[in-house]
Amino acid sequence: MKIRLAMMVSLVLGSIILLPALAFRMFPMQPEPHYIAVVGPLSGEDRVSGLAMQKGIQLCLERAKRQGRLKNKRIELVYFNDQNDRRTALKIAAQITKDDRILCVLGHFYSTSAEVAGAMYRRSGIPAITASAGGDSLTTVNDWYFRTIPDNRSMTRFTVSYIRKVLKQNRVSLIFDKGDYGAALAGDFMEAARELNMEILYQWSFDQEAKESQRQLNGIITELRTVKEPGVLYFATQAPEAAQILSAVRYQGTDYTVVGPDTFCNRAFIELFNRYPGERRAKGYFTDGIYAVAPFLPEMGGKTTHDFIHEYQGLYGEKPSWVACCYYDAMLMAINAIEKSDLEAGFGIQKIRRTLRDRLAGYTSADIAVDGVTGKLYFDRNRNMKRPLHLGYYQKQEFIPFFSQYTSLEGDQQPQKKRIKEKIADKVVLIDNQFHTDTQIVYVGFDINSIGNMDMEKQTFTLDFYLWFRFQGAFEEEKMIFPDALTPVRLENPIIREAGPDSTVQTYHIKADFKGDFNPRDYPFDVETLRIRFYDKSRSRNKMIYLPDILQPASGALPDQEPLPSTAGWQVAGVSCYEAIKDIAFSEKVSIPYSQFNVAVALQRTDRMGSALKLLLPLGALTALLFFSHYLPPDSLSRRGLIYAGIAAAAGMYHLHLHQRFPGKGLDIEHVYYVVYGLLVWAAAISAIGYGAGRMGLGPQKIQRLQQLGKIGYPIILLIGCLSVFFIANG
Amino acid sequence: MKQKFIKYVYVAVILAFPVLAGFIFLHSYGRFLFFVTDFFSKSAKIQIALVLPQEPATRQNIVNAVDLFLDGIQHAVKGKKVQVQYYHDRRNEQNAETTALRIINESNSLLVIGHYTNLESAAAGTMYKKNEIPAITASAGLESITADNPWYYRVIPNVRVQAVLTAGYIARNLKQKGVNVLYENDEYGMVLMENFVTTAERRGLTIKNKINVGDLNMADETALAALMAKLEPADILYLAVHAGRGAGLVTAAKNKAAGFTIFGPEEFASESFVRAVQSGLDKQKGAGYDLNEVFCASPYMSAIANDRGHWFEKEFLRRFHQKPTWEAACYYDALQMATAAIAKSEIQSAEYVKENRRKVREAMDGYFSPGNAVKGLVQDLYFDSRRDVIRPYAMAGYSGWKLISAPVQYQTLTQADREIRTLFEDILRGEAVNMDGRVLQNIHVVYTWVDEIQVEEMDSMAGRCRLGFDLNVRYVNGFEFDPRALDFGDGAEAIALGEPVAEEIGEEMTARKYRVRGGFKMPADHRAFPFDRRILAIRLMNKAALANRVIYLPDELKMAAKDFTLIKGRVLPEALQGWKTASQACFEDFATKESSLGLGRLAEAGYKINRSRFNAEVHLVRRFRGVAGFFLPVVLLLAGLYLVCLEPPKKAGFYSAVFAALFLGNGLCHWFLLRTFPCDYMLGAEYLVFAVYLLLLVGLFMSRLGPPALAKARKMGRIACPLAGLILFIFWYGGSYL
Repeated sequence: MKIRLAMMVSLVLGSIILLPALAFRMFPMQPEPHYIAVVGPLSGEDRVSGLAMQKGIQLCLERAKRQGRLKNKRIELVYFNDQNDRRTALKIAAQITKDDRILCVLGHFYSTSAEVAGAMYRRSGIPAITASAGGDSLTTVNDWYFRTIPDNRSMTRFTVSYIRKVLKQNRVSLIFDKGDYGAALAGDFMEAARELNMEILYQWSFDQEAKESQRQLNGIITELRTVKEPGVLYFATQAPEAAQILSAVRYQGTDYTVVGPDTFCNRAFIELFNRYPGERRAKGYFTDGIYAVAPFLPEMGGKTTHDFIHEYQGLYGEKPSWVACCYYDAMLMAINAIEKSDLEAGFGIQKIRRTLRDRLAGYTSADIAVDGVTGKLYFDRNRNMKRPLHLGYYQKQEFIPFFSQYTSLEGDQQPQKKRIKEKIADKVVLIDNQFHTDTQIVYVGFDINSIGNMDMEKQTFTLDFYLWFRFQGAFEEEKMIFPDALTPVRLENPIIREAGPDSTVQTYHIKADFKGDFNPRDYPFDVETLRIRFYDKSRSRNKMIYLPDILQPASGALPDQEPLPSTAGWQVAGVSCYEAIKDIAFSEKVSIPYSQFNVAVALQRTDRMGSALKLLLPLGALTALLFFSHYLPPDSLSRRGLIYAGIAAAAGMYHLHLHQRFPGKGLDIEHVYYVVYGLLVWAAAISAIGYGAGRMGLGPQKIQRLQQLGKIGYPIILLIGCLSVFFIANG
Repeated sequence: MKQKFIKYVYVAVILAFPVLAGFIFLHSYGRFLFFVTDFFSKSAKIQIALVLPQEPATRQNIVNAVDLFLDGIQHAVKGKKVQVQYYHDRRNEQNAETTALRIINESNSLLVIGHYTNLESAAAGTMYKKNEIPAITASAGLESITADNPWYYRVIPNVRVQAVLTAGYIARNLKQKGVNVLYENDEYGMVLMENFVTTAERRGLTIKNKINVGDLNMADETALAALMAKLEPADILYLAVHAGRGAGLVTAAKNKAAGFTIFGPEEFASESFVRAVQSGLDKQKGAGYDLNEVFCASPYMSAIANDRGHWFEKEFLRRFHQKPTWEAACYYDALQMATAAIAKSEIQSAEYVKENRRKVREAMDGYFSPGNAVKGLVQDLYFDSRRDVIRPYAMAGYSGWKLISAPVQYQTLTQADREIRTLFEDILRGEAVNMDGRVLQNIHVVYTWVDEIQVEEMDSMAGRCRLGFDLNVRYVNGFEFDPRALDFGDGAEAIALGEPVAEEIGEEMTARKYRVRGGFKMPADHRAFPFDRRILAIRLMNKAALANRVIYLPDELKMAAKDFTLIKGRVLPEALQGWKTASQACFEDFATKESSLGLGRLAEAGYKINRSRFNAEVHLVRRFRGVAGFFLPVVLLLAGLYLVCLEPPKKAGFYSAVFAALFLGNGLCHWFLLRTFPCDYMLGAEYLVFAVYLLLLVGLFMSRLGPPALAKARKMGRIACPLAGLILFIFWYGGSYL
């Protein structure tokens, strides 16, 4: 009795101690969450930009968590919708400053909202990072505000440089909003234009805040229509006003060259035009050929950018805009700062925020920069990030890089003197005290005619296709290398060479043999990819970048397109084209990046179910026959043996045939044969035991139970076997 | 209970096959189903009146084309049945008016297709205009029929176009520069003559004589001889006359035994013209007198057909075992246009027939641009302001009594094509003609033929063969034939033509022969084994990707030979052991590819690259020996199974041994199939193997039954086994033809 009592007490005590410990292990205590406030337009006309902000920031945070970067720190996001309105921004800033859980702010989207809120953040000591508000004074007068893009002044100077040197225009007209944003842009634009000896023909302005702003806009439209040659039209305005003017003056037959600021680079800008029937009926009716300078174009990024794009597309099913890329980087900076900071409650929120601010301010040079999606992330003395900006233009509502871009030569090892000489020779450009070089963008299109001679053993295939290049200026195709071609492919005698006002197109018809990389492991559900790659060994990525042309057929067969070509036993599941960076070793320590264009043609077998049936039906019959053997009398060992031998021979023959078709390849579907062998072993074992039991004189009842065990165990083993094969096949 | 269940299973399995076979049969012969359902149907019908010509052969061709079209649209437009009512013209105005009145008053026809001749169309047109019923002609070419009548439409080019094209053709392609023009002084003859003369003179030809033969008596041989004596045989003779008068003039020219080169209008392309000339020729002269050196325009020929036109010809040939005439093709186009317009109109019930006719006419007026067009057999059909279709005529010439394509044709350039070409220079050089704002571009015909095919190797399993053959090409002098531009579409390797082994340069044509050897693909589909077929195919087309400048037509002179054979010799070579020739064919079609080629405007236009392709095919089937060889093991297996059913139950071990042996035998058969045909898809023969597996399993299951049930099951098995085998065989054999 006493012993029992003692045992019970011990059990209870042990449970009291053990259970919480187990619970704690399974559900560890989470630290108190800290928040990062994300402020942007989550509704209204610019909702698309707000969503892009969210997606970029969220992706960054999730990645950081996956990588285990925020150990012992629980960081969550809290969203605020300022609708790009100053008053709302002020209210939100007041809310944020009162919340001691918020470490820092990402946003605001517009400069006007950021400036009013920024004053409050400064007073309350909350660091803020924007990746879109370009107002010059935002960071110059507020040392708590950081910016991961260049300021408006830099962007405007870049714009002027692009107009002068790339578009080769030196006569411009200006349309600007008299508000802070427009006036600042206009001022910077005129200053930069004068420096480059450009002629400013006309200036039109309006006051968006004024009651008669609509009348002013109508007046601009009327005047503009009367001007024969206004030169390049630069819009220092927000998107809605620009859309209103452009939809009134830009129609078929007019040829205005229009350049806009970063507000033109968003999806929201296009949505403004989709209100008009002309644009809805024919995509690009108003917007084709509109230029804008973007803080970043994803197509121009490096490997990190490509990985980010791939992950973003996989998660959200769309390509990221510059907003998503830049806010990703903003979040990345915040995470880097938070990582190195102590967020213990004892330190006080003020101190934590100051620490974060100081950490951010510590990123002052390329040596200690963070590798971001948009490049090396570090701030200048005004807490802005300097990087080359990209000129893009609209084609069928897609904002794509223009044919010529500037690439920064910062970090380049060449001596200053050489750079100056090159500048004099017009080989490099000096913008914002940084040297830049021209990078040619060549758009590549690919269209399959036919696929043939697929040899899984020799790992070769023949591809017949059209390949075209759309470019400006010179293009030398002789140095192009196709590393996968069995014999060198020479691009000679283009079937089309057409030089238009904006670009030149050169089209080639190629039929050649290429190396394949076939892996039938998932046969018959395997998907094989035919790869074609090429690069120009004479021009590094600084000099030339290949990008997929938007004119090529979309990947996959769309309902209103003719079916993609098929080859015997295979059909094309989809075609994808993308640019990759190929590093070629220059020396032991140095490698040079080259732009490599990649085409991946995914093939799947035409009759996969038929093939699977073909493989599995005979095995099904053998399995059924094997099951039947359990119904034979236990003492008929010879008959059973005969059946087992027959099944083993048949299964072996089919297995051998599969090996002969795919020599040396481990196929997942082979495991099905092992299941059959396993069932054979089971059946034989049951038979042998049953026979032996009978000989040893065991009762008929027991032998009967053994037989039943065999019959019950058989389907269970079969089920387990099939499930195992399924899981193995799915990795 | 168990036995009943087994019985039901057996019955179900046995019945399933005939049901499946019946379904397949009905699917192939759905037309008969249509007529059956139509008889019982009371739903509203769309009526189209079609006025047929007098000549029986032409009439039958048109009716065949109509049948083909209606089958293609399942005899319905927008859910309403389409009924074509036939009427007959008798080649006079009064009769045409009577026919028109009948159509207007007695039928609810929404639209009329016809009439055949200009005279009848003009007469009937007045009635249609007055009574507001739209009409489409596919053969009457006078401009006034449609220009003066807003209810009349035409789906072939008018006679003015053919006169201009004929003059252009002569100026561009023939050496002779002098032309004698004989014309009839009716509207038809005058339009032809005036437009021909204007164009000819502008293109540098000299009109030597312009003679009105409208009053000439065709029976007066003296007058005809005197007329011919005035004309210089070295000059071209252009006959702007109707077929009847034309036949007489051609006969007179031929009887003069002079080497006239004669050009005529589209009426010379009809069979009635040929018959008229044949009967008129001086029979005393005997053989050798034919229609050589007689050329004409034709509203349709294979040479100017698009991909839809080629499909039409293939289907027409398959169904009616003859090539379609131009009338069949053009009336097919008229029906396409008519049903498209009817589908576009919102037709009400039959009592509103007048309103419906107006709506159809409005719909027809809606086809006025390339963006609003109906796909025709030559090009997209849309009307100009005079309800005419501007497209080229085919230029044709007689070889013997057979009308074949001339070596140069015209093709309409689309807007997209026009941007690519150097248009202005082409017009200056005579390579293109500007016709009412549409540009018609020259394209060259290369008459192509392959023969003396030697099959050096054939791997029917791998789908490859090695062929050697003679490639013969004929083309007009001045055309730059580039053998390097040729591509063998089914070549398994790069095949170059090299230097010709023979070349003959005639006055107007150059002929070359190349000896070609190389590996070719022979796609193998083993599904129907052993009833599968192989196609030895030689396909030739240009490598260049742009729109056609060349078309490769089978040389009809060679095809005309009754016993032509593509394979060398009568006995098949050793490489083809186990196979025999089932059929052979030569035809032209298009390899079509839609691509923008990097140009934005082509992406918008849905640009199609059509490369003319010459095809020579020899269809092979397996010899009976090979077939029988496959069936033997299967028959033995089924026989073994059948014997088990016959044999009364002895020892249980007997069954086990037999079944094990049959299982193994079946497995061996299957393994043989898998080894011989390493493909991923299921073969028809494999279904037999699986059926045997299934029967074996059923048999094994039956052996567990008690003696009474087993005896019954054995009885059923004696019937089921052979019946199942027979049904499977029929299903599989029939399936190989679907």
